[in-house]
Amino acid sequence: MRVDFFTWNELFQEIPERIIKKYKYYKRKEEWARYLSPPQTFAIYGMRHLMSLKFDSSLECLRLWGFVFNETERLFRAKQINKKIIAVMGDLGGIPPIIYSFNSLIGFYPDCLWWQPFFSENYNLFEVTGRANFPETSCYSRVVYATFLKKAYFPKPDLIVASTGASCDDYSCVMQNISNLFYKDKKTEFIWLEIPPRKEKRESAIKLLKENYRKLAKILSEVANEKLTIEKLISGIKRVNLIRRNYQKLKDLVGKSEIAPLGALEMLLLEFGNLHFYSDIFEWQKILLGILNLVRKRVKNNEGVLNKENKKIVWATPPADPLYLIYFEDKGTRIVGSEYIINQVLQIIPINKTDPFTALAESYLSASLIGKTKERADLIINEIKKYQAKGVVISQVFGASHCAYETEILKEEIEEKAKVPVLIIDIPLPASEIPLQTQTRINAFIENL
Amino acid sequence: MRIGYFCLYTPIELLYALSLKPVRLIPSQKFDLTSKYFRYDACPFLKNLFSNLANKVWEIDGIFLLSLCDGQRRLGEILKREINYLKIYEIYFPRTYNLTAFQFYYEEILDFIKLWERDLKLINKRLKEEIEILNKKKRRLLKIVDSLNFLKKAELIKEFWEKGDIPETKFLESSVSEKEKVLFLGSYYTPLDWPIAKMIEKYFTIAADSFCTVSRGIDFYSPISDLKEYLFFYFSKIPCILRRPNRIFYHYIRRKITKYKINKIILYTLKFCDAFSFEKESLKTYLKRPTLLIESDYSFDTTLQIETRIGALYES
Repeated sequence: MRVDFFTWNELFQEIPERIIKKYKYYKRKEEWARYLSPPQTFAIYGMRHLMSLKFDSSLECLRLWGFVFNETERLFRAKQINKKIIAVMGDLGGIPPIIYSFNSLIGFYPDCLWWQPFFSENYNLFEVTGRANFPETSCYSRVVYATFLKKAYFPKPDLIVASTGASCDDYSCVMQNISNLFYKDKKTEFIWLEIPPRKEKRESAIKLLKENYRKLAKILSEVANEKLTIEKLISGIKRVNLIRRNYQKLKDLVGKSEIAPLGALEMLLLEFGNLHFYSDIFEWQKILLGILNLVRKRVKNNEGVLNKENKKIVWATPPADPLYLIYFEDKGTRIVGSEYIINQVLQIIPINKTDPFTALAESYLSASLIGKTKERADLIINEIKKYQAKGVVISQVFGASHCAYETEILKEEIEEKAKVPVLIIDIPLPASEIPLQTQTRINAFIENL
Repeated sequence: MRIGYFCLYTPIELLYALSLKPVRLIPSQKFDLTSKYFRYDACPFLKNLFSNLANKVWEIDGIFLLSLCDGQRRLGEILKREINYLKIYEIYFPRTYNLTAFQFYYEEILDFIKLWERDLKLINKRLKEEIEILNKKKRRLLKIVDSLNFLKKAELIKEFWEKGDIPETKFLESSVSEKEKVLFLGSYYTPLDWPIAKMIEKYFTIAADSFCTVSRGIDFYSPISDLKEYLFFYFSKIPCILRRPNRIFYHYIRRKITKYKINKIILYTLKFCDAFSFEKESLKTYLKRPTLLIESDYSFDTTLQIETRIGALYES
């Protein structure tokens, strides 16, 4: 069942204290490691947008939300318990399997904070980037720079890894500005890695990525003061693979079931969980498994959260504003497939016992932004076919570099090959409602599916 | 075969060594026609470049594209769909200074060479000759343009890039005015942007610039060396704001500021050109000089507004 924020709060009151106390992060036993909080807490902390969204009423999903919104606190706690914090930017998922092979390292993507202004319906971070003279016509990921200045969203990282090449130009510029902040800082090392934008020369591309990972592993060993053996890395990769496998099972169940057993918003959080596991891989593993079991049960009992008649669609490029997902569902669609520019974290890393770095590199070559737009279109078309979707929505950001060149090619390829309609929408700055004109376009698109 | 290019990292000496004729694409005209594949927020330069290519403004058979910015790296796919007469050569160029990435780039260049010539020794020999020739020309051109005002300089250098030869310059007189000096820098500078320079020169002397189509293009000289060393020069020595980190670019402009005793900076960027528009504050902080940011999309609807802002910088 999907409920609004207020009902969600009421439901929380029914959760016994022992359950609330049961869930803790970083395998800790202390009270401070609890993360299951009343949703109101997040709204009081500033996540006003929650009041406009709809949520899965299950305890499993409440746990998911609690865990996701607790991440800032968790990162500060990590620092307090002597974990080293690694900020990873730009590559969206390639590096965390190495980071999480170390016992004392916590990796996270500040990139994900691009959702912050939308969840909080607050322009403050945009104002900070405005004062830094960043262009207004650029990707919302620019707010990540502001989060570094604010020093409130995560502790000071012990190492920052920025990947460029096959990442968007806007974000490459944001990373450059962040690197300027740390230029004279002797305590935080800032390293740049290169992602090859093409994969025609597969061997060279793999060699480059492999060397990146080897170099990084060495630096991480120094930061962690811990040796990274091949066995440790393989075991780390296996852990990541388990999460990716479970997510894929979940996605298939949700996409192929007769009635949507889970909403798009929760699925978005779950898909992005593959990036850095919201800074606690072990707890994330359990949360994901809990939701997988819940969905299995719902599918078996033919239960769902949306109407059976809702039409299946695929969503490409993650929406900066989560409200859009809810709106589409309310208007009669269900999101069965996705291409959120993170295809790289949905692939199983082919474990190569002699050289896991090669395995990581091979797997990363599947990244959504490596290669031609046509290849990305093929990823979307595969989702359409796999889940028998009736249409595609491409959400984009005005001024974001790759959107300006790829969207029309994506549309053409999809319409030609998959023969389904494509709706392209720009996600505007944070607001509590979707602009009326956009609502009309969405409604017209849905009517024609 | 005539090959068009625009990025400064294009190894033109090598193109000459392969008996190709490189033509730098610096559009002087603006056409209304554009590709449906460009969204409204695509780079105005690339959109206009496309229009010029579609209108066959240049007599070229192919285009050499590098992967520096998002637009450039995706342009090939758009051209393939829209313009049939052009052969497209897409080469990976690293954003960072990673040596394995350089090796990757080197291998791509080797593949490109193989399309034209299999004898690498011969290419190395020809390459050295071409480097020497081009260096000589660039040095001569530098001497000629050194005493000219920015616009004249931009005009001559453009001609040089397009024709590959030193333009006729028999009776050129020194034309540098004695106004307050500014450094002028920013996105790919074409004749369509020249009105901005004219406006600036009403108030200031553009004592130095770092446009890749103007001074930056003739400020660097490759060593007379074999292919790998030559490519490494391109990879490691030529500054560009798009490289990561982009310190080399900053050091380059700081040297200009010191050399020409410049007090103010005018940063000119095309709309949606992230590379420069994100750097205003960093430039200001690093160079410790008042910096004015001017943005344009070739429409110049806001000419008066721009002039007012330039005037305000003059008064500040």
